[in-house]
Amino acid sequence: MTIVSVPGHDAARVICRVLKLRRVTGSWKSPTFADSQHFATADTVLFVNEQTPRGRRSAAQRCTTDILWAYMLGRAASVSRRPLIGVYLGPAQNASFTPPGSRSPTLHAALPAAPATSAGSRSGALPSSPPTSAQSDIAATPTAGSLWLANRVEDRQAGQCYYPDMLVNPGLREVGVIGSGPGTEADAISSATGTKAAGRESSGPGATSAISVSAMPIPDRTAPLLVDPQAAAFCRTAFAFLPPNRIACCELLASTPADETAPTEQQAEMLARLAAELALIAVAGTLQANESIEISVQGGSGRAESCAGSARAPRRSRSPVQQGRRE
Amino acid sequence: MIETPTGHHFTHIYVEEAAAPFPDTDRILRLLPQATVVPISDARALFNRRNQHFQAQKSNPKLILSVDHGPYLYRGSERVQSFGDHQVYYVAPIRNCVYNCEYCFLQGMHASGDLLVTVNNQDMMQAASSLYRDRGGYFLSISYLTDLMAFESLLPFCRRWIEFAREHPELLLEIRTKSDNVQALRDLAPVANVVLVWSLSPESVSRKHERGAASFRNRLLAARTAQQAGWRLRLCFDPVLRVPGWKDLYHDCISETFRRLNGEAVEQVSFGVFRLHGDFLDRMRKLYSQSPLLHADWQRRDHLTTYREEEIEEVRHAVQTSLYRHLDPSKITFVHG
Ligand code: SF4
Repeated sequence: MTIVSVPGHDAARVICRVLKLRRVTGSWKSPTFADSQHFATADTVLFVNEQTPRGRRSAAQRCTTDILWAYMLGRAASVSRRPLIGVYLGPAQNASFTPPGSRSPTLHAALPAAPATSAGSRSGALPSSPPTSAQSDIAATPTAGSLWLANRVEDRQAGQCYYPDMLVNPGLREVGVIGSGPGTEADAISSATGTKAAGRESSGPGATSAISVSAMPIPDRTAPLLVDPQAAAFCRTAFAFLPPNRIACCELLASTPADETAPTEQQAEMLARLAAELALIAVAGTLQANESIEISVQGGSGRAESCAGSARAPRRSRSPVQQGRRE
Repeated sequence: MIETPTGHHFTHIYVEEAAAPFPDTDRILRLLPQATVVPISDARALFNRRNQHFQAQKSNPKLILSVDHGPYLYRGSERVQSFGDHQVYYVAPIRNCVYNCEYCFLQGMHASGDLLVTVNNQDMMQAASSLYRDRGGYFLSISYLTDLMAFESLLPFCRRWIEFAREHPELLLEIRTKSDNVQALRDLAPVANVVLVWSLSPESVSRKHERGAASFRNRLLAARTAQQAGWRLRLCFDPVLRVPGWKDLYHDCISETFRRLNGEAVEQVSFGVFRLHGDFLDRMRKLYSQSPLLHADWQRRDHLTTYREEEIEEVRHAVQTSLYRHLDPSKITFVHG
């Protein structure tokens, strides 16, 4: 089961076209699309979880979204031995970014009322080796319309941080997300400046405590940072139900808070490929001896089979360690 | 795939806030220039998250750099001391392994398949040193929860601990490995109180059940290189798996081993059958629903899951008989428990 959550109808339309999904009639408050008549039998479900500008939702709306997520994931998780992936897709609040400097500051945030905020200073040497292409990606400027894969989502208000396992990546650049939950601008700004979140430090399911990123004197190799309160809500629910290897969190950047940016077909295909690759890894661990399964989503497909534990996902970011390799 | 100077490839390095200023952190980041750095507050919390899938994470393992706050030294169980030495301790500079052996107990022990690397190795050495001052010599295993030699090109833990052993002559340091990375120690003079232990399995067993580890032949060549360089050498055939044709496989494996190595200079050989603590096996079975090995009809007794008594005896007899052809019986230890 692959679940794709999108913020609005424009985005849903593109993804539905690529994934060939149709609207499911049912009791959902938010529109749901799937590749079959019913949610329970679908391989892919698309869930339009919000239709109001981001950061402007009422507490009731936030609560509804969380409950819907919990319901969806809870039902989907009960379908045993099917891959289940949450892909969160949503625009950042604002895409006014400061290009990363060569040394510092390295923390970048887009804030609704404080555009082009960059904060935090770092000490520590840069790696002496020349930047690789991956580093160039890290240093890339997030621009409106670009699609990013989150390697961590911080819920500053709850003092928690979520790390989806970064097992596959169909070529998306990575980003850190401050999802401060039902936060305020002040919350977001204090997050962006690296202030440690007040409140409890205890970890929720699958979460670790939040961090003070800008205080880290590590070389300039971290991904840029975005602010997106929705991501925290998604992770809170997803990590309660799913293991981190079955969760991905994507960010599609919008230019304004009200902008309902839709992904391009190419980006939708990338999402499909990400979903298919994660699904292969998820399902490979559940196969019985001599069993195999084909997973095919437009834009990505593959075959997982039980053979002494090797999940055969499309080999993109597979990285067997080479030391002591066979002759 | 991007090749690094060390031959290792990690796509992500999670760096604990407290680990950032340590030289080992800097070294790893320099040696893995292509890896994305993800800052974290608490490495142990990340490593111990519930609901992780060890084997899924093994498909693309990550490095987690952390500061260990102790305890640094652990009392070793019988599983550590295969050779009958007393006062056994172990340290864990790295938790988890770059290899992925199907039977490895780390799958049942650790929640995560990622590698948790301690960057304050100096504190471990201080703890080992003060224990040495307090009670004299003891047996210390440094690669109990990992294969340290396979990681040597990234962080020279073996080299550091060997130098440590050189300064603490009453200590007996054990480095156990399934790698062939002996070249990493080539410029070191052998130390009298350091023992290198190669864990060997027949080629077909290693190919099928010891994923990523060096081939039997390469391990043997590495052991021979070490032996010729003057290092103390021990071997272990552990676990012996009763795969189809196991008697011939292990007999041939032992014969080949002593064709390549000077049996006189092999200090000791230990062997044992597959055995796991009960709850470890339960967890591993969940991760590995497709493993015929883990889902075999094991007998569980006194928290230990292993072969039936008569099967253990058969293995013991067969392997001992093969070993007796090449070694003095006093050099052979059967390990169980
Ligand atoms: S080499 Fe040892 S520690 Fe590493 S996976 Fe194999 S059994 Fe486990």
